[in-house]
Amino acid sequence: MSTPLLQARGLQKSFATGDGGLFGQGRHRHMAVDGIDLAIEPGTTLGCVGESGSGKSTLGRMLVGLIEPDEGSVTFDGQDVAKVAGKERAALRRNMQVVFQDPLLSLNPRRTIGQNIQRPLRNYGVGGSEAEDRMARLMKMCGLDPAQAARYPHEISGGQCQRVAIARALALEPRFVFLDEPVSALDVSVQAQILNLLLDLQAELGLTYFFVTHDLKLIEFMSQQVIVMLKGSVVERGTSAEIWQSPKHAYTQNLLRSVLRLGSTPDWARFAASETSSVIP
Amino acid sequence: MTYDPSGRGATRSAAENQIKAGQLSTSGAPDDRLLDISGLTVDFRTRRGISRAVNDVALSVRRGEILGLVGESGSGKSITALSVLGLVPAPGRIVAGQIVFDRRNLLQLPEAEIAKLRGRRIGYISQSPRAALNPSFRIREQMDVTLRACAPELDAAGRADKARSLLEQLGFADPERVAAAFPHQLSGGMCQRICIAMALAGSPDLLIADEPTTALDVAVQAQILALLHELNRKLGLAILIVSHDLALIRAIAHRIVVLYGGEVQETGDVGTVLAAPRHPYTGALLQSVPDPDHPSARLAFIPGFPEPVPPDADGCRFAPRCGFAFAPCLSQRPILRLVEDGVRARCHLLDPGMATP
Repeated sequence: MSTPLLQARGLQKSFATGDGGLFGQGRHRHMAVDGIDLAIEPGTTLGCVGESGSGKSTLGRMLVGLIEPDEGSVTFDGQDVAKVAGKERAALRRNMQVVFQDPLLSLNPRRTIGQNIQRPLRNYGVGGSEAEDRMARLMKMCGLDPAQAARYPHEISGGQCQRVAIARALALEPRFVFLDEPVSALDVSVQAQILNLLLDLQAELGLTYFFVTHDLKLIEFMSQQVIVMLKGSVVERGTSAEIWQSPKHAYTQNLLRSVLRLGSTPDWARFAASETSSVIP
Repeated sequence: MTYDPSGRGATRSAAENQIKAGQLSTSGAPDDRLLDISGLTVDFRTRRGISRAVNDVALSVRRGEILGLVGESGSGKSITALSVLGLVPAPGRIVAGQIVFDRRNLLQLPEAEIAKLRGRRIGYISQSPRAALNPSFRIREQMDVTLRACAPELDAAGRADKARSLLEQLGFADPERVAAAFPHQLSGGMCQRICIAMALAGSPDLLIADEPTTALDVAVQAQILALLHELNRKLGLAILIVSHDLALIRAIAHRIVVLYGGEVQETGDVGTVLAAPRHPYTGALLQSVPDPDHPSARLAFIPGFPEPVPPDADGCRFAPRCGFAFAPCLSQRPILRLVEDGVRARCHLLDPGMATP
């Protein structure tokens, strides 16, 4: 067992809900992430499943420093992320990148895809022909034709856009990438292309992923270790085979039962009774 | 006209003529087709020219049947579904074909007549239940508006009763509380159940469900599907369900229609088609979904991405992305060929007269 690249201890984050009324009497705090520990080994993928509102995206955002945790710490390569500042923080940040769910929303629509990919390079002082060269290399690596660099995000397909977003995330040669539902907005036939690309890039560049999804079928395919989240907490963790074949927690078992499989007829009575944590007023 | 889903080509043209006259078919032949679409062609006129979203699509939904319509974005699946409701968004226009619902050609009915069918005979639920509901009104008020349109014979008290019983039927234990809520106070799954309740308000014969579970979590998806399954079984409600998820269609539908590039590529009994797909597109689609029951290190994938099709395009729509394409695929449009009992596929590879590579 090698040293983890990324480690989190006791991560906690709550958000204020409601407008609070005139005297703040209606104010509540919603615990989005409630005390989570995790460790991701270099070159591996930690998958995270859970329904919407379970806190999985908030957790990922804390791991890459997009959200400050209320409690707890994130350690990247031995450094406590919260304790570094200035240049060191910038150096740390370039090692942690994100690919978001909807590529059309995460790319700048007023910049060409080439400019989108070059943006992080320019932020870190790489410009001119060097940035152009790196952009072309990144585009090829992600299955894009560098001749398309002058096009705008709305002129290319969703799958192509997601390739651009991945190229941009990899521009600074990060070691860790947070993949936040990277294929849920894409067509089935294109999903497979992007998943394969992510696996190829991981093998080639030794990347470490935190992969968030609500689709259990993707988790099994993408990750070695899995955490299952419910209402801000981890209810089960294990290897992806363990989770798929012998889930221990009732919530995980229910999730797995709800997965539609091509090879079997669904148990409708069970489906109808499947428990959901729907919020009732 | 190339494709006759029932295989009753001989009796078809006579029936067609009657339908064209806007009359009931009185030929006496028992016809279990509730919805029968043939030759449906929809064009979108844009600044860049005409793009054909749906090309010569034929499909039918029998009474009491669930038909699954599968395709990716741009395949024409939603436009086909919206055509039935007369709701093709501008600048789209139905340029050919007919849509026969309960033996009346909808395309020849005046708008007022179609409006009577919509909601009462044909229900519709969309992909985004939250967007389908008005955020500023309580569920009770929204259901009342629907019932006013669908059941004009009821008075206010009757409508309230009906709304309550619809909510109960949809599995809400406490219909009063749900009726008093605003959409934002309810979960996505609850909103979709309310949309279904409203779609059922007029006791329709056909429910069109356009990706009804795409925006929902997996356990909620299972719940909604179980509900649709039950409505079909208990009420004999015919459902046209649109999805890109083959496993979902496999679970719930009786028959499947696979669309690509606005054309029907394969159709037949859902079990038969998915167990042994005849069209390369269906096969590729099946393989591009990870199957944890049969893990693999990589996924088979379809290269490229779907592209808009000009109306005068020759050849097979899938040929540019097909691993089996050979010369004729680029120049000749394959016909939808009967390959085995009830299964039809549009591929030159299935043509015994075609010299394969």
